[in-house]
Amino acid sequence: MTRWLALLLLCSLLAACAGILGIKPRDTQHPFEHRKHSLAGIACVECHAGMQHASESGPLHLPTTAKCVSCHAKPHDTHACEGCHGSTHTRQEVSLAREHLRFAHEKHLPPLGGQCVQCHGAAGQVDQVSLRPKMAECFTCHEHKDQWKARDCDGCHIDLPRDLATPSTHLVHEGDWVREHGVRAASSRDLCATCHAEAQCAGCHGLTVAALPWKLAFDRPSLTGLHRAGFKQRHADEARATPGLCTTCHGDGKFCADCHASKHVGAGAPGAFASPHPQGWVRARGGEHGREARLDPASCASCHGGRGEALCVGCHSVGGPGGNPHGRGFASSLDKLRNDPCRQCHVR
Amino acid sequence: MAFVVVLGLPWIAGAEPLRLRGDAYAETQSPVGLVVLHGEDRLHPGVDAETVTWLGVTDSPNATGDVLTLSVRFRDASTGSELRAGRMLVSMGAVRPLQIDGARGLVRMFGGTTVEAFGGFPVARRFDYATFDWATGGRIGQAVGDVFAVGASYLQRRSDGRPADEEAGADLMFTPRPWLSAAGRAAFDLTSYGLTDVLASIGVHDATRRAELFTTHRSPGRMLPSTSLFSVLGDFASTNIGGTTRWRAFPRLELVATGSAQVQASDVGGQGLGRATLSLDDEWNATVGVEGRRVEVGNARWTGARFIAGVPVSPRVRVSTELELVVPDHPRGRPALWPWALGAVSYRLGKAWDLAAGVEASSGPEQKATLAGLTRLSFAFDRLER
Repeated sequence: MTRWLALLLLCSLLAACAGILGIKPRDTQHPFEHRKHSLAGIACVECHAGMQHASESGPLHLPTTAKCVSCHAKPHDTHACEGCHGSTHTRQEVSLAREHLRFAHEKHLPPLGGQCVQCHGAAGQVDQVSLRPKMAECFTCHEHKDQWKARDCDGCHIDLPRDLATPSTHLVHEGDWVREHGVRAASSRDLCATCHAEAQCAGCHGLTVAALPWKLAFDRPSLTGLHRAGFKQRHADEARATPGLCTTCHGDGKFCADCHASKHVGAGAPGAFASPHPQGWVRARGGEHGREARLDPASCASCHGGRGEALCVGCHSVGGPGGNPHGRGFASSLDKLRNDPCRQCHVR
Repeated sequence: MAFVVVLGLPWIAGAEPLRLRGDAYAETQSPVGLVVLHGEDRLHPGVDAETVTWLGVTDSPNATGDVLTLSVRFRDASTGSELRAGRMLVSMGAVRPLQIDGARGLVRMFGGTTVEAFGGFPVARRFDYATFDWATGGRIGQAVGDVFAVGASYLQRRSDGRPADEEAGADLMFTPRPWLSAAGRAAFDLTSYGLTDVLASIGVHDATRRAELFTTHRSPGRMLPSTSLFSVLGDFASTNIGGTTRWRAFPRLELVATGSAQVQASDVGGQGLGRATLSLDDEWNATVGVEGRRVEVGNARWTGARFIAGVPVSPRVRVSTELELVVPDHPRGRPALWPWALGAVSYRLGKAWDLAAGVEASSGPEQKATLAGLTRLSFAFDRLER
């Protein structure tokens, strides 16, 4: 087993470091030299010919090699210029914008006096990767307050979820977003829904999930999630460290108990192993189990839930040797003679 | 069958956009095989539908399957009011999320007021419903532009006709400046009176840095359904206070650090995490990352390290790996080191098809050693015409 692990580790490291080690051909692409051309006094529309008449659809108006060599009469090699000058990423971004935005340059250029840099300020930077203006840039002229209130993005965006443009200005999904998203979504669920489909929420929080997203996307280790990597083998320690958190999704009381029973670790399950509890767990005057149950009741329920509750009731029913198990100041709106779980102890 | 019906509609209506996705997953350990079908479609500017349905075969002799979502939404674009019917996840304000078969509606009224309501049957796996299981609730909210929003929510769930959960909640969002945002929510248990779950967070950010302070307060007994015996014992609530920072130190290097202190009864503990991610290209397609974590809460005490890498070796082929080592402070009869490793290769066949294969190996408290092969074949179809 150790040899297999070592071999897997070595192969993975070699593959992952292929680029650094020079196994992968060097990436020769670099951002297009917009700044240099601009400083030379070349107008944007000289290369992006026809942009001033561009409507919502039609060609992308990206220059071809023929356009470049009309000025650069002696190119330094015979390859297509766009192979190195300008990145594939930037061209994909332009293509996605054409597909997913209702935007016409022909309507925007005249009021701006033909000044492209009013929106495309990034073109003046030396190492610009993205030239697509951020949405805040649009809002400096367009207000769209009514559309924002109605969460109506269709006026500008077409099929927003597939635009692949992460919200960089008005909603930041950074830091420890997996932990934070719940509190942010509480007041703004409808805003989340402008990009995220039902399946994305249910994919983690749904009771009928077949496999969590990162289980299916095992080839994308950068995908964040609570149950990544070896979570299964450390789940007991994770649960102890965050009491109650597991129950926010696995709250039906059956999830843990069913799985533990199938693995023969549930109390009373056929073929169950010996008790995992230490000596002194249950004593004549209580023992450790009462305090531990108050620290993490879901942990007890994960083995003693459902029918296993009978074990507790055996001692803690009214008049029983275990005494009153309720905590100090306990109050409940349940009817102790009619409702579960009260009646288990109070109706005898 | 339902999946076929929902996906059949768009072909009749010729509606856009249409998205279909199918993933076939197989693993040498359980579940042995799984097929997940996903469809989304806009039937009309005001009507859209989506579904995720799966079928699986485990190591038991029987095949199984279920529906994750299957719903149709009717939306009025001019007001943003909507009605959704079918199987869905309901998450309204501070009360706990719930998957139901039913309906939920949202009405936007004049002046930024919203009213939401839902009702239905809490989802049971494999349609194993009990009689008189139902849930209902709603939220009323008030927003002031996109700067401030506040809401009050309510949830009641019955199991076999008996009270299982009854909660009221309040939520708040405040974004006074684009670089400053705060949010909070609190849920109150109306069955055994007390705070169930409180979360609050305040964050500041600029282009390269982000800092956040957060706190949580959780009553583990009240998180359980009121029908459980363990919900009436009384519990020790746990309170966390911590912070997270993210810093894009260089265009290709991102650093994240998170730390929190936890108090529960007389126990004081904490946990911390540090992560560095280095990109090998400007688009962050190829990344390597390292992560260290320390947990010291109650009798959960362990140190972990994780290494990830994902690198495209050609436009079609991508290799990735993920390694994790966990060292418990007190093995208590378990192994002293829990390693976990995964190596994967994916191959993109044109625009629609994607094939991935991997090997997962681990050694830990549950099993001395495991080795599993994983494969996935995916098909994705998008149709969008302007």
